[in-house]
Amino acid sequence: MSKEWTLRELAAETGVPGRTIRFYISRGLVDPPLRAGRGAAYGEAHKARLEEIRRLQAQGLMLAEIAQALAQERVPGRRAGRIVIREIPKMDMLHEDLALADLESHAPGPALPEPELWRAYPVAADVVVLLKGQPAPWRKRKVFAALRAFAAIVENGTKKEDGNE
Amino acid sequence: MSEPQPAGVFQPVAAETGKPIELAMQRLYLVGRILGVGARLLVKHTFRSGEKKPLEVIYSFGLPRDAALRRFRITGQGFSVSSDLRPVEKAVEVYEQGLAEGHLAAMARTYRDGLVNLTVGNIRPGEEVTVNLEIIAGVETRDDGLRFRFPFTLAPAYHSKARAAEVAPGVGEIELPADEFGDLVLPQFAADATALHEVGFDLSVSVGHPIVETASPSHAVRVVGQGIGRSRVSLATAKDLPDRDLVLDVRTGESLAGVVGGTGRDGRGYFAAVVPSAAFRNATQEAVNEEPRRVVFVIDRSGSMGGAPMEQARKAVEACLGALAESDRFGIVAFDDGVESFDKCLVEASMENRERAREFLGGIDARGGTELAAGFRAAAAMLRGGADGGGGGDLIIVTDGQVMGTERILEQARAAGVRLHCLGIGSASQDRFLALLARETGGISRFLTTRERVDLGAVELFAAVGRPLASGLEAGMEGFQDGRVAPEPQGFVFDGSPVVLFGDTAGPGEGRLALSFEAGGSKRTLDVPLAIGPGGDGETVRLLQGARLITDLESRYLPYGEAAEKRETERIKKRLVALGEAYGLANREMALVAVVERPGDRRGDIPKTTVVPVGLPQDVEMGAYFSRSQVMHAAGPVIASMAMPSDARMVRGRFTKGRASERVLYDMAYLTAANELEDSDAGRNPLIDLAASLEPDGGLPGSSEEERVQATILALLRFLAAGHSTKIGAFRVHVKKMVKFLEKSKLRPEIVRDIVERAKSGRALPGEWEKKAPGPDLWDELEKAVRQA
Repeated sequence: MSKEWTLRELAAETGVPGRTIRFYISRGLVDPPLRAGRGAAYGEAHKARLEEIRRLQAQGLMLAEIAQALAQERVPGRRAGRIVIREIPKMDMLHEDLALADLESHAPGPALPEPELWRAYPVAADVVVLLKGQPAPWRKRKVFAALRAFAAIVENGTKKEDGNE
Repeated sequence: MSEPQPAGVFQPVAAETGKPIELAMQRLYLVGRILGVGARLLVKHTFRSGEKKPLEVIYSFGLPRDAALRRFRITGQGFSVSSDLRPVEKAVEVYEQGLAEGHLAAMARTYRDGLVNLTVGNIRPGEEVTVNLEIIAGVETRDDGLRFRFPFTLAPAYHSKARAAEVAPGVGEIELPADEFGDLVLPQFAADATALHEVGFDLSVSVGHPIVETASPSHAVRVVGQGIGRSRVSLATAKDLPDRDLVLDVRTGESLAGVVGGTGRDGRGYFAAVVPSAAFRNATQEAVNEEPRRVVFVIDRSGSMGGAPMEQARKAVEACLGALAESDRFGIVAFDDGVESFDKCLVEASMENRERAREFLGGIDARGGTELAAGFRAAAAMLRGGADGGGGGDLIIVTDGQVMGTERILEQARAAGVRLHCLGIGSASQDRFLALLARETGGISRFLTTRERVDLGAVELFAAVGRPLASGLEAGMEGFQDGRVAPEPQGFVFDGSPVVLFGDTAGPGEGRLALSFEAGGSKRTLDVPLAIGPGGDGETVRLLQGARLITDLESRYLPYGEAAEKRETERIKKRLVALGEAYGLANREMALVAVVERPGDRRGDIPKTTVVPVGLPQDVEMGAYFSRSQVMHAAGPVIASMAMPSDARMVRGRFTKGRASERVLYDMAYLTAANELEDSDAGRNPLIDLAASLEPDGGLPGSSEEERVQATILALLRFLAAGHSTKIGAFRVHVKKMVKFLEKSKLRPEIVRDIVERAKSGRALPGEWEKKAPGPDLWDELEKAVRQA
C-alpha cells in the first residue's frame, strides 16, 4: 500500500505550508484529498504535484500559468487540438508550454517534430522580441540588459516621431 | 498607446455556472482614536460565506507607519473569542490543528514590508463572522498638526524577483519568491473596485490643542467638533471603495507641543513628548547658517510615476533650484531599473547649470521598474565625490515608493551614510517604508496623495531640509528612577517637523527631559518639564512606544544572507519575541491566533480557500504593473465569461512598470495650502514658475538693473499675497533670497525698504500685482500703494 499523509504531515513532508496546499487545491492546482471528511488523506501523487509546482515556480511560472499547463496535462486527448492549433502559431502564449511534450506522447498518429520553446518579450506596442528556450542565468542577464537598452531606444524613437507629426 | 480601461469588467463569477460569486469579505470598517503622537485603531472585518462547504478567507493588507497588531476578537452567532499572542510557528500550528479538528480558526500574521495576512478558516456555509482587529499606528506629526493615513487597499509594488500578470481582464496578480516572503499571499488587484467589499470609518481625534481644521484629501468626510482639541471624523457617504488610503489632516492653530503620558498596564510610567522645531529655532536665535547647501534630487521615473506626478516632480525640482545661491551645489539623479545622472558630480547652482538641468529634466519620462537603492547610491556617490572635495548634504527623493523587499533598501540606505528626505506620492500608501527610510537616515518624509500638488509639497520639503536647525540631538531623562528615552531620537531637527520622543520610567513622578544638540556651531541644551501621573494615556503611549520599537527593529530584519547576517538575524528574532511579549504586540516573530470550538464541528473537511481582492489604487494603471495589451489581444472567446484565475488564459508580461501615459488626470489641488489654489490655473501654479525663474543672486531676470528690481518686487508681492514670507510658507527660502537681492539694490530705497519689511513680517501689499509688469509707471503705483496701506 502506498504512503498516505494527513494535510499537516504532507506539509511537513514537502515544506509547503498547509494553508498554501489548501489554496492550491482551491485553485485546482492540486487534487482534493483521497477521501472526504474524517479519513481525508493525501498520497504520493499529491506530494509529486507539490514538488512539480515548486519546480515550475522556480522556473518563473505563475500559479495561473501552472494551473493552465496542468489542466491541459490532465485531459490531453480532449484539449490537444485546441492548444496546438490556437496558440503555438500565434505565439501569444508566453509560458513554457509544458503540456506539449506530454501531449506528444499521448497523441496517436505520426510523430511531430520536437517542439521548441520561445519566450516573447513585447518591448513596445509594435515590437516583440523572441528568445529561445530557457537561457542560463548569466546569459539571461546579458540578454536582458541588451533588451532593456533596445526597449529604451525603440520606445524613445516612437515617441519622437509622434512628436514630429 | 494603451487602450482605455474597460469599465466594470471585474465581476467575480463562478466558471462552472457563470453566476456571481458572493464576496467572502463584505465590509471593512475602521473606528478608533487618533492622538497627536499615534492612533489606536479597531478594524472590523465582516466575512460571509456563500459557499456550500466550509470557507477559508485570506485578507491581505499593509500596515500604516510605525504600526503593530495588538489583538483581535472573532465574533459570530453565539460566540466571541479573543486572540492569543504566540510565536509564529506555534500560532501556525494552533491554527492548523484547529482547522483539522473542524473548528473555526483565525490568525493574523505579519510578513516583510509590514504586510499582514488575516486568515479565517472554517466559516460555515451561509455564516457571518466578524473579526475586530486592534492596530496601534503612528501618525506623521508636523509642527502645526498631523497627517493620518490608513491603507484601505494595497498598492502593487516592484520587486526584481516578483512575477506579475493580468490573469483576466482588469484583474492582476503578483506572486513573490517564497524564499524571501514565505507563504505570504497577496490579493488580486481589481481595476474596477465597485464589485468589491465596502469600506467606511468613524474616528475620534484628540490632540490636546484647539483644532483649526480637520480635512481629508482622499475621502468625503463629515467632521463634528467635540470641544477643544477633539473632533469626530466619519465617512460622509454611506460607503466607499477599497481603492485608496484614507488620509486625514488635522491642523492645530498653535504648535502641537506637549506631553502625554501616565502609567501602563505594567505599572511603569510612559510618556510621549512633542517638541516643536520652533523650540530649536528659538534656542539658536535665528543663528544665520550661511553654509552652502548641497542637495541631490533623486527622481523616481518608474512607470507608475507616469503622467501628472512626473510632470509635477520636474517642475518641483526646477522651483527648488530657484532657491539656491550660486555658491550652493546640486545634482540630479533619475532612476527606474537603471540610473541616469545629470552630471558626474555636484555642480554650482549657476544659471547655466540650471538651464542644463532643465533640459535634462525635460528628457525624463516615466518607464521601467523601481530600483530605489541604485538611485540613492548614485546620488550618495555624487555627494561624496566631486571637485569641491565632497562632504555632507541632503538627498531629496521624489517617489511613489512602490517597492517590496524594503528591508534590503533600508540596509543600503543606512550604509550610504547620507540624509534621505522622502516626498511620497500616491493614493495607496508606502508611507510606512518612506517614513522609515527618512528616519533611519536622519531625514524627514512627507507623503502626498495624487490629488495634491506634488510641486508645492517638494518646495515645502526643500525649504525645511537644506539646513537643519539642529544636529547631534540627544535626549536623556532627569529626576526619574530607571528612566529612558526609547527609541533614540533622530539626530537632526528640521524646520516644520517636531521632535517626537517616547520614553518610560519605573513609575509616576516628576522630572525633566533634557535635550542636548548642536546649533549654529555651538552646543546647546533644552529642558522639557515632565510630570507622569498614574493612569492617564499611559497604556496607549506604552503601546505606541512598543509599535515604534518593533517597526524600527523589523526594518533591520533581513530574511537571509551571509553568516554574519544570519547571526544578526537570530539576534533580532530573539529581540522581536521579547518585545512582542513585553508589549503584547504582534510582529514578524509573534502572531495572533484564535480557535473557536463549536458543537457540530466536523473533523477532516478541508475548507475552500479564497483570497479577498482589493481595488487597484485609483492613480495606478493596470498596465503600469501588469501586461495589458497582450491580454486584451488574448481576451478572445476563451476568457469572456471567466474571472476565475484557474481557467483564465493568461499571458506573461514584462515586469517593468510600463508607461502610464493615459493616466487619469485628477483635478489638482494642494489641499493643505488653500492660498495657492486661488492662483492656480488649470493645475498650474504660477508661483512655481516664478520660483524657478529666480537667478542665483535672488533677483528675477531682466534687461536692466531697474527692470530686475521691479520684476523681483512684483514677484515678491505675489508670494506675499499667497501667504509666503521669509519665515512661513513653502516658498520662504525663495522669499528670503529675493529680499537679499532687494536689500543690495540702491534704487528707490524708501519703497524697497517698505516692501522688504513686509516680506519679513508677512504683510501683503494690497493690489493686483499679478497684472502689473515692470515699466516707468510702476514706481509711482508702488509708491501710491505703500502710502495708502
